[in-house]
Order: sequence, then C-alpha cells, then structure tokens
Amino acid sequence: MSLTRKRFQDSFFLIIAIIILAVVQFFVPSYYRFILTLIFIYGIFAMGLDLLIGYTGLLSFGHALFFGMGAFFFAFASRFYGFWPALAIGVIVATLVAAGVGAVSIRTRGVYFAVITFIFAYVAFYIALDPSLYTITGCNDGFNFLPPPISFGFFEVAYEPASLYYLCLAFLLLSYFVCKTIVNSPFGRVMLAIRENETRASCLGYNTTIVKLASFTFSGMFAGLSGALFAYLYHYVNAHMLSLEVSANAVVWVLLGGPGTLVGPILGAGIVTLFLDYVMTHIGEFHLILLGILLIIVIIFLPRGIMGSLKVGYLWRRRK
Amino acid sequence: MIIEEIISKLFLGVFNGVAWGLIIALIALGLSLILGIMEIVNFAHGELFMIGGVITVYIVVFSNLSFWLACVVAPLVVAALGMALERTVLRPVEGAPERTIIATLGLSFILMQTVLLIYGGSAYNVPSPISGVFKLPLIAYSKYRLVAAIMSILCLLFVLAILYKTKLGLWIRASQQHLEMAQALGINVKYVNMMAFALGSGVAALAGVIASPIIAMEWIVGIDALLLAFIVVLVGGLGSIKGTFVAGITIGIIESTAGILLSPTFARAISLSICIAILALRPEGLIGVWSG
Repeated sequence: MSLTRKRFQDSFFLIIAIIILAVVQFFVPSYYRFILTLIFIYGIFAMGLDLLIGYTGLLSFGHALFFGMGAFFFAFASRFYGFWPALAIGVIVATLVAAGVGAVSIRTRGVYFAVITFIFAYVAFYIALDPSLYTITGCNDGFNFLPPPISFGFFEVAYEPASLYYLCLAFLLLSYFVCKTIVNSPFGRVMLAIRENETRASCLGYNTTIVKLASFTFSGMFAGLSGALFAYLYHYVNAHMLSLEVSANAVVWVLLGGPGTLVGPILGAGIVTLFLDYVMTHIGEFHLILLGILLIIVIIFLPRGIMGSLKVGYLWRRRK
Repeated sequence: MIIEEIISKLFLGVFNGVAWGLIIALIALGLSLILGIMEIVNFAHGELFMIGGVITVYIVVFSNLSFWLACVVAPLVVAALGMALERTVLRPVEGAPERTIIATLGLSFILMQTVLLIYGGSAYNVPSPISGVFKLPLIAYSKYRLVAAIMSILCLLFVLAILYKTKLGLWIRASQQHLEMAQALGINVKYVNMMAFALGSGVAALAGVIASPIIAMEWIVGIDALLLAFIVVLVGGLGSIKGTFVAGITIGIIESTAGILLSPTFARAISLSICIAILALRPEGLIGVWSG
C-alpha cells in the first residue's frame, strides 16, 4: 500500500471517528455522555503516557503525580483566575514537576526507572495526605471549587455537560495531533531508536538523555492537562488523584490498547472505564481486583495490546 | 530542660530506628534476592509482608493463640502462597523484568483487595508477646523491640546460611551468576526460582509477624513497607546483603528520628531525598553489586 493511500485511509477513519464522536452525545443518556467525557480526558492521559511507554520504551508508575499536580493547581488557580489561565497554570506546573522528576529518574536504567518514578509519586501522595496540609489539599476529603465558565473573549460558554463534552473532545483531538506530530518528527524517530536499542542510538550521535527527558516531560504535560480537565469535570479534587492506582490505571489503558499506536491507548481507556463502571454499578466494589486481573491478563496474553495485535494480524494477512 | 527532652527523643528515635530498620532490611532482603536471582521486580512484596502481619492478627487477636506460633505458621503459609503465585502468574513473564513489574503490581492489587474483603478495613494491634521496658538513662526502651531486632538478625543469618551452606543456596547463587551455565550443568532452574521466590516471600511474612506488635496491621500497610524496601534496595545497591542491612538501619534511624522530632511526612521526604542523592552520586548504590 502506498504511503499516500495509507495517509488518505488514516484521515478518512479519523474524520469518521470525529463525526461519530461529535454527534453521539445526542443519542446516549446523559450518564453515558458524562462517561464519554471522562474517557476523552483519560484518553489524553493515556496517549501522553504512550509517548513514554510505547515510543520511548520507558515504563513509569509515577504519572499520577503529574495528573494530580495538574488537577490541584487547576483547582487552586481557578479560585483567582478564569478557565484558561487556570488550565495554563495546571499544565505548566505539571510539566515543570515532570521535568524535575524526569531529570532524576532517567539516571536509572531499566526496571529502576519504574521503581524511582513510583517512589516519587508515592511520597507526593503521602505528603498530600499529611494532616498538617489539610487546609491546602483537603487530604482524604478533598475539596470542591466553583468551576469557572470558559470565556472566549467575546462570549462565555457556561459550565454544562454538553460544553464539557465538546471541550474535552476538542482537547483530545488537539492532543492527538500534537502527539502525532511529535511521533512523526525526527525527534519521534529518535524516541523509537531509544526503544529499540538505546546504546546504538547514542552511538549514532543522538543525545539520548535529552530525548528521554523531553519525552518524559511531554507525557507529564499531557497527564497534567488531563488532570486539570478531570478536576474541571468533577469541580472537585482529592489526594487520591496522586495514588498508585491512578498510575496503574493509566499503564493498563496503554498496555491494553496497544503501546506505540496512540489510538490504542484511547481505546484502552474507553474499554477499561466502561468495564469498571459496569462492574461497579452492577456487581460491586471490586475494582482493585479487576484492575489486577486486567494487568495480569494483558501482560501474559496480550503483550502487544488490542491495536498492536490487530495491526500484526492485518499485516500478516496482507503478506499472504 | 528542652535540650534534655530533645536528646531523649533523639535517643528513642535512634533505638527504635534500629529495630524498625532491621525489619525494613528483612523486607528489602527478600525483594533484592528475588530481583537479583529472577529479575522479578516484586511489587507484591509489600502485600506478602502485610499478609504475614494479618495472619498474626488472626492467630493472636482473633484466636488467642501464641505469638510464637505465628512466627512459624505465617512464613510457611506465605511461602506456599509465594510458590503458587510464582508457578501460575510469574512463570510466563520471567526473564522480562518490565513485564514482571506489571504482573506483580496486578497481584498486589488482587491481594490487597482480597485481604480487604476477608479481613475488613480496620487496623488491629497485636499485643507484645514480651512486655516491659528497659530503664536506660533518659529513656525507657521496650523489651520487645530488642527481641524484634534479635529476631531480624537471626532471620538474616538463617537466609545467609541457606545461601552459603546448603545445596539449594549454591544452586541459587549459581543461577544468579550465570543462568545458561547453571542450566547446562543440570540445575533445575525453574525449581530454584520457585524456591528462591518462596524464601523471599517467607522472609517478608516473618518481617510482617515481627512488625505486627509495633505497627497496626491493616490492608494498606503493604505499600508503605514496599516503598521503604525499594528505597533501601536502591540506596544499598542491588544484591548486596551488606548494603541492604546498612541502608535499612540508616533509613530506619532517619525515619524514626525525624518522625519523632519533626513529622512522619517530613521523615518520608528526607528518605526520598537521600534516595535521590544516592542515585545522583552513586547510581549503583552504597555498596557495589553482589559483593556479598
């Protein structure tokens, strides 16, 4: 298949997907509109993490830290500023924290990377739960805040389910194009080279440290954006947004959907969210066990994830 | 007056820290053993520690049986559990460390919520099997903590004896040094892996038993223990038993002194800073790799 035809096919599917997502909210009950909005937000998180796990080949268990930083700083800032400045503050703080954590973590190799990111996020979680910070973080209780309306200069869009839906969809699409651009740029190729063989990439003259740090920071930025939107959707934050469970959830989305495919992690976020939601409402509070079973099943039976397996199957059929 | 109070708190912190640090070192020992031999990063290790403590609560608090019985039963039960987990969940992913992280994290979540469902969400304190205190100048030191420290050291010596004096230990060290060569010489590496995992699990459970009169056992203590054990492994250097114990006692003393003088959160932040500093200055840990 020629490249132009593949590009055409890709954009064709993309446009169909956008149209379906843009109109589907008229046909589903309002509860599922909310769930879909949540999935868009999680999709941003998952896609950002895919840059790190799928493209650079680094496994992080600390991305809840950046998600939580985005959420908390959005909440703090929205007390004083409007939606856009608060969003910018949340994302910038998350990005800076990611750069700091990344600068230390990338000194380690292999599995220690996952361990050190986990330690960072867990200590932050621990600090956020400290009773002396109750007036700031709200600890286990968290706190509510008044969601600011979204202003576009001339007019303001009220805080309501439909506008939230389109806001999050727009951010998901924006993030997708940014991620796609990153991945297809020369920089993205170096990320892939590091995943395949870091020593060789550095021998070819690429500064692998900078590329790893940048990809970590990018993924932290998307986690922060996702956290800020999450806080806006619930107009509520609490310390458990920094917990290991959030990081593990994000890793499951990426691995189930298919690392290194960008669309896959969004799909993974959707499947896991719908599945856990179904179980919580119909069967009971077993989400940790289910999350654990999902992690194990995915890692033993589906190492390429859903999209990865589909892709391999498709290529294999064409070759025959 | 105030200076005397600070000094007595400092004393208490150091003494408590040694006992607590030895317990953390035991947890870290199992973690480092499993990582060094099988390349499994065991995120479920904290849960094995927690289950050891929970079994003690069942034996001592719910059934009114002896604490010393728990010292025998809990490690055996958890070692058997570890063997079962290794055979079913971990064997397919062995040899790929990053995949083991995800599998063991899944295990950790499953074990955590299973314990929550069976044991409930409340925390229980196990009464000390040995009550009473030593009168030291400035402070009174609980006798049990001294016993806990001695038990931890005995457990370390036991593990060292297994590693260096038995045939199994020889096999474990051989497959750690060179997997293919060990296999070529006829060592059943799968069996060795299973036994090493069982050994690590049992040691973690014993640490849980020893810790249960000191900290209240509930379903979430595992992750906290895991965090400290990871810090100890990173600071002490992978595979170095000496390093693990030096780092364990250091982190224990810092956690407990800073916890008494400042706050537990501050103590945790200091441990993290030490871990970062070590990583920045000596990424291979305090004491080099597998120096014994």
